[in-house]
Amino acid sequence: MKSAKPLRLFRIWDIILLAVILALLGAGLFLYFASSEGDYAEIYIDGEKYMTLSLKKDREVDLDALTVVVRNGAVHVEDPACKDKICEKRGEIRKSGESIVCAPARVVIRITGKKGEVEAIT
Amino acid sequence: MKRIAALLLLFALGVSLAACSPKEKRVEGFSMGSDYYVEYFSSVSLDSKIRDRLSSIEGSFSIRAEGSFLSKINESSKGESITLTEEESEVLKRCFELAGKSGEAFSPTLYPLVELWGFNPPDYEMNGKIPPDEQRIQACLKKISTDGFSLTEEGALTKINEGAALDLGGAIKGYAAEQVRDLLEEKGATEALVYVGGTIAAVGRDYRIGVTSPRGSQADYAFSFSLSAGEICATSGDYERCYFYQNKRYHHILNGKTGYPADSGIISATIISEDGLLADALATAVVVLGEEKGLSLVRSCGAKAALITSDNRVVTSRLEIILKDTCYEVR
Repeated sequence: MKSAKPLRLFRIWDIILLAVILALLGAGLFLYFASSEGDYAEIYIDGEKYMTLSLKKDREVDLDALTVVVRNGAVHVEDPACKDKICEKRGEIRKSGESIVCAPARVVIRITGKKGEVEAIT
Repeated sequence: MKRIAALLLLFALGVSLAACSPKEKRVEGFSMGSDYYVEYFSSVSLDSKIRDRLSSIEGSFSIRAEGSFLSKINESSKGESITLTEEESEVLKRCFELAGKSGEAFSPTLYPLVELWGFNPPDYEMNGKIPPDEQRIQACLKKISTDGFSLTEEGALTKINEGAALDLGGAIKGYAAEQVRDLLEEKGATEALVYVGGTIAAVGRDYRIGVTSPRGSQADYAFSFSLSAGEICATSGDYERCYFYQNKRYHHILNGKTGYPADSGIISATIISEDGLLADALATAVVVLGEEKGLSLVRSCGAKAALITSDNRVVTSRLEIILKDTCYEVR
């Protein structure tokens, strides 16, 4: 009687291929969920939204009372006209939900990310 | 060897697919006194087309745009006529129809009252404002009615009532969002979110939208809902442009019947429809009309709604919401 060849479900290359696919999938999911960095900075003046800036593009916005600077995906304030300069001391913000408030100038800068629960606010 | 070749082929396929797939783009700016942004996926840039469409709408329908038909008719005297473009005439006609349908709870003729109360752009400084006296309000009410104008099928707009003035601010952002949505769909954008001063349109997929908590809160928003592809949502509330005088809130949504800010028990109205102009106009109308009459109007127009009442309830019509801010309860 001819002995049956043991059934091999996986060959070594199948396992390698599977491992590569799983690793790529895992890395993708990690990058998607682990990143809490925001996508935009919203500037409010007197409670009214003044403008929305993409964090992907470096730029400076002069608001008279202070300058909002977007650099390397983060936002900070420069040259505030007020005395206490709390907003400048706050340093950089980059995560969704973080904000810089300049009370004398009634300016609020808030980071919003679309990876949160909602994608826009009406 | 074959496996390595297969892996390489798979990689090459992935790279080539990624190269020709639509990329995410974003355009932003100011139009009609508000900020706007559009996030869209497209293989070609539509930035200039979006900007052109919005500035053309602003040029026609902004009360402040020099030479717009609104500034012309508002500066004209009784009996004077101007000829509108087809688009202007169509939009104004729809506004007049909605004014009729809502019993003028939404009305494009409130401008004299808005000006009297000081809610007219560009004056957004609300601190230190004082409500106008009763006599002036009553005198102003005489100028408020769609009967103050006539519009023919050919687009001839005539001022009938001296002192009457038009302002489409309560509906034009919805119209603008709708027009940008149509443009994106026509140009093949695969998905997009259009934001024009708080009015939002969804293209290509559903988007999760949050609604502002009217009285401020720790929560980022009051509740959220899913805006389906093709739909537009607009929110009006008494918290947007308002001031306090002797501890009483005076806000910009004015009741054309009483001459005072709406006091219907609805402090925020979010309306959803595929018709942006309708959604925007209804959001204003519902704050004026209140819960019962407002919801009945919304249903008769085939729209969806989520309203926040002054006693902290969220009332919905044909809409599933997820509550975020625990200050409110769904009833």
